[in-house]
Amino acid sequence: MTTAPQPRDERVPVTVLTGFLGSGKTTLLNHVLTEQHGLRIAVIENEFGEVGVDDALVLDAEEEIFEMNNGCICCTVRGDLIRILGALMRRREKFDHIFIETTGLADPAPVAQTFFMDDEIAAQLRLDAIVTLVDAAHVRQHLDEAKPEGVGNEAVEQIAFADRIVLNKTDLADDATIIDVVRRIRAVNHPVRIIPARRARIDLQDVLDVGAFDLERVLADHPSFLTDTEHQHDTTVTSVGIDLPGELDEDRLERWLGELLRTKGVDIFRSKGILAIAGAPKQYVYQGVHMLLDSEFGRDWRDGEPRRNRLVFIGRNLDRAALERGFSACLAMAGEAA
Amino acid sequence: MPLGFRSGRPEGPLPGPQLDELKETVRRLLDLDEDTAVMIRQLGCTESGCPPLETVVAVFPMDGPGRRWTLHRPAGQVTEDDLRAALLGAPQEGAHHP
Repeated sequence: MTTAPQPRDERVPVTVLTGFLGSGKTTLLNHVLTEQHGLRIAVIENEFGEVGVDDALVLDAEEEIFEMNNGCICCTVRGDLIRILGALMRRREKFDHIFIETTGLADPAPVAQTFFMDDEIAAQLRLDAIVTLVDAAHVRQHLDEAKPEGVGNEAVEQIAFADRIVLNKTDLADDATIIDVVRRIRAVNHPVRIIPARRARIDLQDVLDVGAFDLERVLADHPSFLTDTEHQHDTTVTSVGIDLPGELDEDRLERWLGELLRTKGVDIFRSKGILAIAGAPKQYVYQGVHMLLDSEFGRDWRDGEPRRNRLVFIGRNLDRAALERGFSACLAMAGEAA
Repeated sequence: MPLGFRSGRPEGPLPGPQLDELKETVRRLLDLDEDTAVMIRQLGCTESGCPPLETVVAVFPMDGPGRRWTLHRPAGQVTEDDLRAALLGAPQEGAHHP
């Protein structure tokens, strides 16, 4: 049997650039705009007037956090982006890719949630990747900064949400510092791809149209993640990967995942999965930001391909044992045995 | 007239013509221009004593702050009369600038 080709995703890819002030976001953006890649790029920037490329479609927006539901951080979106993305969609034929440059202190969650919360945006735009710029020489002081109770550390959150990390200014840090920074990044976001750079110079193929929300690609970059179980229950921000052979009972999975995200969604920043649903010929591909989920059936399972379920969580207070227990109970076989 | 959605998961995204119809009704009732973004989402309610699902209508004009209204029922049960009654009331605060 041949695998049916997947329909081409015609949605406009969107890259979100995060990183502290001085980490090199604008330098990277100027590289993106001046390289000869043939793409017409629209830029939305929250830090005004820094992108200096003639003819670029650059739109300024003032960051506006909007609560859809009182007091629920999982239901916050960015009002400024909703407006401006809506306006851009009416000029759809004028560009091929959108970059959003956030402020240094921006919380990535409402930015990402904007793409999950609104159906019109989700139908026309695809969050391609969250790219976080990290200043190799100075990031540790931001990571170590003590915050008041209940206030998140922005540097940790920007790393936790990242699909790609550009470890910038490696020429300004010694080898021991760089090794330690990489260790600190991996402690938060274990499977993330780290791209070393000087003056924010990188191969643009590493950040443009990479489909970084695709777990299969994440695991291709970092195949050992799901079998690495050294991280146990931890009160810091960290990541847990689970690889479970077999097929899942859809109803049980939906109940477990729904309950998990309802009760722990505040602490679960990102989640991604490629799952085998009993009776389904296609892979079930899922991604989430806090409580919001997006899922679809992906490619066909190939002939002879073992059915398995791969799931990644990145967040705070993750209890690996409880997650593994809950996920295992969703196996179709577990239901039959009970 | 009921403005129901097709069956689907209660907290999942609600695409489809019914959602478009609901948005158009909001546009008409509030006399919104085409630059104003309208977002409608069914959410799990976090307030104790409220029904478990609520429908949030949010409106983002280009030249003013975002506004929102909450209807304490699933999106599939929201009628035009419900919308008219809700939108006539004062919107809730939703936006802030960090």
